[in-house]
Amino acid sequence: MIPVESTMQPVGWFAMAVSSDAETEFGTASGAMMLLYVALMLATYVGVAYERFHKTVAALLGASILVAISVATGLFPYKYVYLILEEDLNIFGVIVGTGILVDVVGRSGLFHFLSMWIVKLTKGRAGLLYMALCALTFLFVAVLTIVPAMLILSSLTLVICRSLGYRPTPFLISVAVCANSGAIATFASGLPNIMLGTAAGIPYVQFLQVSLPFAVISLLVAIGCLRFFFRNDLPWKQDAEERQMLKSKIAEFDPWALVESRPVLIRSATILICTVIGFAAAQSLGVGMDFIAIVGGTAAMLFAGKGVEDAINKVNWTVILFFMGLFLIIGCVKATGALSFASEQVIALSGNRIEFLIPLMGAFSAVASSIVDNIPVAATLIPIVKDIGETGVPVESLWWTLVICCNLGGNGTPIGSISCVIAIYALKREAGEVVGWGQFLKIGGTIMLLQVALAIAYVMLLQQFDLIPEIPT
Amino acid sequence: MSFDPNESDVNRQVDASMKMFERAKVGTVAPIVPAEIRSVLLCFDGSSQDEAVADAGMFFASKDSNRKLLSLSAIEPKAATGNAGNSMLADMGNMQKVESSHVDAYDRILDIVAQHSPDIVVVPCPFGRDFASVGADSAGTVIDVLLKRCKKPMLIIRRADQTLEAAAKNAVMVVGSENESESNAARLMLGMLRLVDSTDKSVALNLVLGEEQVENISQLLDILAPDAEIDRQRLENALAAAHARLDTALRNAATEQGFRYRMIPRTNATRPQEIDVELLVVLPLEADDQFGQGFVQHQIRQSPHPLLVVPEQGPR
Repeated sequence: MIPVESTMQPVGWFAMAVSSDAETEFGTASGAMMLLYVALMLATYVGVAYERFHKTVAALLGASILVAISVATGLFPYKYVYLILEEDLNIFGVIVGTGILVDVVGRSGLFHFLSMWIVKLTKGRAGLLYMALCALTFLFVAVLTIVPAMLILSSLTLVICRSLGYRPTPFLISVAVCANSGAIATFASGLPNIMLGTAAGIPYVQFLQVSLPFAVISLLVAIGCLRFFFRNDLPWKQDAEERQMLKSKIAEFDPWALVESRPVLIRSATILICTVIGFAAAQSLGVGMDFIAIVGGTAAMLFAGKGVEDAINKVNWTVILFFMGLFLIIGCVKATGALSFASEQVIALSGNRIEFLIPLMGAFSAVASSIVDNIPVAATLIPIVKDIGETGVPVESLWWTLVICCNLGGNGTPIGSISCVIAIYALKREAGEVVGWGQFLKIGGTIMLLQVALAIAYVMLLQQFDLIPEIPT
Repeated sequence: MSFDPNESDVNRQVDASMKMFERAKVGTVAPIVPAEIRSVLLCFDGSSQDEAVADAGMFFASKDSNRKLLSLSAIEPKAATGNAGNSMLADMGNMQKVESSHVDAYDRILDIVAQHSPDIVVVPCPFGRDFASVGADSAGTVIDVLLKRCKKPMLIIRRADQTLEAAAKNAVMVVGSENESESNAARLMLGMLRLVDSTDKSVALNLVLGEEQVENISQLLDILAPDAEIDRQRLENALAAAHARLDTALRNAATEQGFRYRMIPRTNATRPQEIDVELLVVLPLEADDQFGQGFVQHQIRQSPHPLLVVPEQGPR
């Protein structure tokens, strides 16, 4: 390993990297090799970001090239590939299990029913409806992850706005921004959380202790800002006549009409709740979250679903293959020592002081996540944070910084998060409204900066007062 | 869905989810509440149609002196100069002249719409020409562009002898396909109806399937369900059932607001419009519906009557 001096300056790192050799567990990788691998990794990320190139194909192509070069140059034997993937098998289990569970439970109409029922309680009044949709988004994303939750909330918002005569843009943009707060809430509320939680060994319960409270804070900040930005776009104050009209319009909707079978609905809800409890209890039961997810999915197919083949076909193989490619790429780059080198530079830049590392990691992960998908950002930073942890720095705070900032960074640009992409597509298609970069940057960019600044302060405060729970070994 | 869905994936899934939520609309149908018309943009083109546009302006102004009228001279450079319309409105209170620096008429109109957000835009058609000069052959470039880009309802004036006061008493909403802006169009139609001082007002909901559409549907059904017997009566019943909620809402509104109402599902070719009958044709227009746009353009070309085209966003 290249010796680390806390006073080492980052200037000239490129020259240092080229001229350095890194000792890895397989031998010595030259600096040129490190750079080649990093360049190929970055090229893959460009392919992932490029709209016309399928993300999974880009990841698998990058992985194929890097594995081929690694084996051909003797960097590592082929069997090392299995070791790389072995570490992340439990992520695949979580994706498979939760995918089946969400699909089967979704087809029972549970989420459509719940969301319509809650919207009816607002009697169609603009202010209450707005708060209800934001809160529903937060809850649904926390349980379902972003894509299924956004599909439900986007369609509900469009149908209700059409019925009540509201402009859908303020609602949909707010739902998209609030979704990124929901994505912080639990272990299973987003793919980055699953990756980071698994890599760090963070129990489900600790997400409820650390990230959920900040998720609520970020939601309130988002709602406050959005309410201000859209202060002239909705009829926030409505007179008695308007309210009566809205009440009669919302009365046209009957949530129970969305439910084909009440027994199936109840069984679906029960299985979902048990799975969430199972996640929380996984560690004390001595099993992994992947086991709980698979059991939950199996129970859903057994008791709550028809169309088992359909449910299994709905497993998101695109995501699984993407992860496979990504983990292989990171594993290959890690084998050259490049990521260790990067972590050494981070340590050198921050003087290995946690009060500099937290803002550095927070700002970098948020900005990177606003430009590219947060999954490769999280995947790349995981080995770097692991290496930093080996220097004795309290690494828990860095994990939580990543969990929060990788998700909130998505609010920064229209392409930063899948929730914003879905909202913008839906608005354009169903309402003929186009949200430009300028308009979005003004709203989302402001909210992101505020939320990330608060997130960094939050983690530093928790660190300062020793409130971050230790991750069990 | 993939974690990286493309636009068509998102649209398909959102559509499917929206249809599911629409299934929940089974409760009591509320009567349609007429839309408020607070501001009107009058577009003058320098032709003899300016008189009809001015007449429309006087109709709106006479019903409510607080109603805001905006007057835009969108005369194209090659058109005949004429400001007869403007001078007729000169004495009208609460009228504001607006201007735009754009060259083309449609850009000027869209610019003013974006700035002032009127509830209705009154546009003569064909723009810059007399109705007799092109007849039913063309609606003109300005209308084509406005149909595509204007997000506000448009009142399209065709012939000077069809006065708005007389036409608005008898409104006919023509629906040619599934259309998400039907409710908006119905609200604005009743908003116009409310402005008319008459005890003899009527509304008709024409559900139309053209001859070619019927042939297309029959051909597809012959393949999908060869044993099914499809005749025009069954198609018309199906049309009526597909619009049952709108029909009920208008029927309830008719009872509440005191006008005659009927629904007419038709599967024969559109009858030529009779000039002697004065009526207001109301056309809902869905965003991104190419077929619907073609249908609306056809109705505009064929119609001598004023037409109220209501896009999806419609009145708030």
